[in-house]
Amino acid sequence: MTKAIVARGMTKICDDGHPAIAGVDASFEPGELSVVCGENGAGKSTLLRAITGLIARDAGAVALADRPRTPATSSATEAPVAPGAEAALAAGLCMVQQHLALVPIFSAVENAVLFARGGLVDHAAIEALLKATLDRLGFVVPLDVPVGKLSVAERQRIEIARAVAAPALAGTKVPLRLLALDEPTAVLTPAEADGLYAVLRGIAEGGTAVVVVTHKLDEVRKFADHVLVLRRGKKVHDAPFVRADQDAAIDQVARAMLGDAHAHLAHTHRSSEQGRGGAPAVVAEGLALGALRRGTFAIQRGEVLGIAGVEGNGQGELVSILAGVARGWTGRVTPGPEAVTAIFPDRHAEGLVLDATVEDNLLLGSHRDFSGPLGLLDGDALAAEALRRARKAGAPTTLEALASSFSGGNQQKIVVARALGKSAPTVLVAAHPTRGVDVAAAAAIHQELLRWVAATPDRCALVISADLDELRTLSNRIVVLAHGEITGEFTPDATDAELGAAMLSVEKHG
Amino acid sequence: MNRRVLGVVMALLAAMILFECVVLGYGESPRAVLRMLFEGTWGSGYGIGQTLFKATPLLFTGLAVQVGLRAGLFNIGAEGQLVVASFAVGWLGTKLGGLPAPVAIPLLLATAFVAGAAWALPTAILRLRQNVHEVLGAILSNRIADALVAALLAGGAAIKGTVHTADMGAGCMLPRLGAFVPALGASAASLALPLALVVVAAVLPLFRKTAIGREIVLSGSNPTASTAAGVPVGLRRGLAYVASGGLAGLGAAATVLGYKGYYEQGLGSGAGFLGLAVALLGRGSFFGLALAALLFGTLQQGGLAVNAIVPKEVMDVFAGVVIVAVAIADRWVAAVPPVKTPAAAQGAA
Amino acid sequence: MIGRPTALAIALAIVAGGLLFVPGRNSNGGVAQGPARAVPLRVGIVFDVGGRGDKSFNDAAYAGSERAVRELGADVAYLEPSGAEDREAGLRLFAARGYDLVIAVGFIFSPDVDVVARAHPNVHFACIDYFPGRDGVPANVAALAFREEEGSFLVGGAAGLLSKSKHVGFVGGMTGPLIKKFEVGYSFGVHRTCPECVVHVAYAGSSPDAYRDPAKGKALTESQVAATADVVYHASGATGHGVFEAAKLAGISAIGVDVDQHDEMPGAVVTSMVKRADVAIFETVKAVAEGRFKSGFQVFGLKEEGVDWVHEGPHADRLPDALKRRVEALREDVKSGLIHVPAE
Repeated sequence: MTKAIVARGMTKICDDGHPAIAGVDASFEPGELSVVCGENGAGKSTLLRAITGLIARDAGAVALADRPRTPATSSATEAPVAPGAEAALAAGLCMVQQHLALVPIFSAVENAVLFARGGLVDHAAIEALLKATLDRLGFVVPLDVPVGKLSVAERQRIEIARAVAAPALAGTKVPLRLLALDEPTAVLTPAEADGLYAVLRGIAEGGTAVVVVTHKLDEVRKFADHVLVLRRGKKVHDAPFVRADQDAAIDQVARAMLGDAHAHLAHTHRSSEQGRGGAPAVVAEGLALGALRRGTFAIQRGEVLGIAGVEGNGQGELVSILAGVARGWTGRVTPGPEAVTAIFPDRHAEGLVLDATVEDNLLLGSHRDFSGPLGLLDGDALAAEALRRARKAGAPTTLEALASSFSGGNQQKIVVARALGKSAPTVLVAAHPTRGVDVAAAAAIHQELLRWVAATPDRCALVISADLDELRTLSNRIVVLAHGEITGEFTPDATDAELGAAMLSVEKHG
Repeated sequence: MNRRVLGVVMALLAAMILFECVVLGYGESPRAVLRMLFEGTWGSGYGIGQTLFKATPLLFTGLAVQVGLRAGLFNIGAEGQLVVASFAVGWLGTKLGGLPAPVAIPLLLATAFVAGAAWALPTAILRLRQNVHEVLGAILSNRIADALVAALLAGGAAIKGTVHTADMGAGCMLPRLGAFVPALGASAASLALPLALVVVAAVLPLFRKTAIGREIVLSGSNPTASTAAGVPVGLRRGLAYVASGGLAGLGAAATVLGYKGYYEQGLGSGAGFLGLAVALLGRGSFFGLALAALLFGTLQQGGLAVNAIVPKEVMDVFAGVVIVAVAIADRWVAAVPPVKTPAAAQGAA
Repeated sequence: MIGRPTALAIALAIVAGGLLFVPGRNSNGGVAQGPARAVPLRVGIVFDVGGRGDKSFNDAAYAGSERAVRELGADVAYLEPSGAEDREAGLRLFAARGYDLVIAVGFIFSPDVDVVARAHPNVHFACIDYFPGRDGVPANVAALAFREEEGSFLVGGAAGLLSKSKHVGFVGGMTGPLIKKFEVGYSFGVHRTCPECVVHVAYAGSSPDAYRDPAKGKALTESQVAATADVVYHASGATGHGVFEAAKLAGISAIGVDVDQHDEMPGAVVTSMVKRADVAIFETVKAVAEGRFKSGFQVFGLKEEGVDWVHEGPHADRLPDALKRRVEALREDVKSGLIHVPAE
């Protein structure tokens, strides 16, 4: 019979001495889909990584237990799981991390080979296993191209399939007991997210405990069997999600996440700004590079243009061109990159210097503005500006800490804080500005983004997001990018169905 | 105890055990050989001076490699940069017969820097324009440096029948430390040592205290993100690599200006490659670099002192073992979780 | 409580410390004792960078010093510096330890010997192929030199007798007075035994690289073969490998230099001009041991047995006995002063 996974007293101390999680108990039942919620930095990822052995825990124990909802004391029937990733894998505990851990130049199969154990590797057998797993999950992904060439969503599917197949790849006979996923829907469109949950439900029904980290309350509402909420490293809520009384249950979760004082932030506003008329602030004609085939659009002064679309339809290329880092593109665009401040889609590749301090990340590209006599930097002015930027976007203010020491959401806030902290540019290009950010912070970022656009009359913004609600919240106008072209234009009150139809539109030219 | 220090101590102890075993393998007494090694290095005034002399070019090349590393570039070309700079200084020195030291020495130091930097420039351009890996470019330029300098020496720069240039003018020499500290005797340590320390102390803080320095570090750490944020990444990394070449070239101050008074084929060879080890062990701090340079200076001078018993190849292996042992111990100490409370964790970090 | 790293560090320290007290096999309290003298003569030899095992000077120096150990009971220590800046330090190490005689192997030590010898006037120094600086040879330095022209004269005589085509070749390394001596002595010898013979002379270059260019050596020899040369002598370091290769391919005779080079190309090398660095060193050690050390140039020619040619044993098999006798007669003429071999 399949066993529940019980973790007790899980504790992880950060390098700077404060606990990321402190004494968290949790248990996950086979067949259930549990959701772990919390603000950025609450310790959600840390908890699951500690359980699956991806990071060394400083205290606590993990065990496999027969009885469901095992009480806080251990019993003789439990089988302890030793620390470390090997032991966790041998017990059938696997995790899909938020930042996908695939080797970009390897194909899906070759990446799966990395998980195989034993002396000789049977490439064909692994390919068959991976294929079977992908089929079972209903994923269609090319297996023979380097994963670096795939979209984020496709890469995620490979990661999930690899995790599901991990015990078999490792040559163990144990079933997959626990599948943890760290913010898997952050990079997905709503339709893709729904599809993913259907797959996860199927995995759960096969006798696996599925645990998803998210802070999208909508997902909790639709899919959670059980909800666990962390706040500042402590567990503050641990209960089944009672679908019979959804609204009260969601409210309870939101309050637990945010603390009572901030619960109102979960429901946010919509932009009421309208275009200010006059000559357009941005004119793009026939931009083409890679997946982007014909980027033609204009943005008015004061306007926020939203771009919807399935990932990989030219969004990344569009940002690169506008921000001036792309090479070999064609077409025309005004103004030039010097007038653009950008939030790039991949915060680890293009957004952050992970092993630099928060201060340096907040000020990246602006250091030269603080050179004093003899070319020496004015440290106080630097810190003051960094703090100003950080506070605006709710980013961490521990300026000397390394960017890598923060959770994904807090890292995103640093990226946003830098982009919005620049005052000279007139065009903001924001790709997934709140990806991985919790509800309260997302609302703050939205506010700050709109405030930035409104600060002077000649500013405008282009927002790319997979989150249609976000687009509706921010944009005055939404266009859909599909097959590298603009395929539709909508007002902000377009429905998911309308937008979705345009996003999936068949290619016009055969 | 500081865990890093502990790691280094462990590595050195492990290396010492290996050394003792090797000495036993040669049938000698470890104690006698170690005493010999000590007397040849830290046990006598001359030995101390020689050890400091050996450490001086390593300070320059170690700093040079470190500057490259900060920009994410591995300057394995320090060797060739030092050769070219040493030759340039030695050659120019013969032309400066009448100049007084206050004019000649700054001129020669500037020459060393410019020559080393110029030698690094093609590699930097290849790397940042054509994406030719800097290690490949550096290996090529090292080879070319050796061949070029040999050809120039043979083509008239050297005294006929020898492989060294003529003596430099009297004002071109850096005074020996022995002139100020008689205990150092006739050792080759010179004012190049304090000069090296000043340069290291002056250059390292630039990465934090100047905008360009910070941009170099950020560019080296994540070029994509830095480019995206508007940092001129190519210029910054190029500047760092070329400056690295110049700093390596300054190593000529120790060998040509501080010791020989002329350039001789092979003078200073090996200092560029050992600079890699110094930078890796020194980890970018002033004391780290200084101690690493002293360590390898001691090993080099000590190797000479015990060469009658332990062949130099074995000492080279031994130096390699020290590098690897320190690297392993470092990682191991970092990986073993300390017995920690939150407070203890804070202390260790 | 102590952590694992600390415990390991302590363990390592104990092992490292403990090993200090293990006595070595050879050591009875320090330095090995020589057999004969109560207070053995202490000789330090500094090889050149990368010199050990060169099958040439450095190895010959080693052989000579080993003979001094056996026959004179000298206590000899060796040192090989690791770089150009260590040559002086190596000499100083021996001088500072109170060695009686410090020997530097190779002309490249010349300026270093000058400096160290003047700083240690009570130590005797010797330097092979020493090249004096501005201030001349210091009073405590024996400059060991060889009459290469006399050795070259002998192999030249052999070449003149060997050649059937009456054309012989000479391949030099770097142009300059050093190699000129070989060329002049060789030509002198060739014309002594074969007045009508033509000597084809070629040099590999004008830089030190000329001693490391086998391809050039091969090309030069091939052009001499084309000019019908059937014996070729080289004085060109590693460039000589190419000379031997070309000689072997063309089926002509080659003559080696400095040491017996038969084994470099058996079948092509018929003899070699040998510089006896071992003799020079042994004689110098002996002079110090007997209290008759002389500074200044100590020149080793045929008379002093400092140069020689390979004419005995299996490596000289291909030389006819009549030829050997002719050339040995030439040696006697030089020794007796009947013939004076020019050097330039």
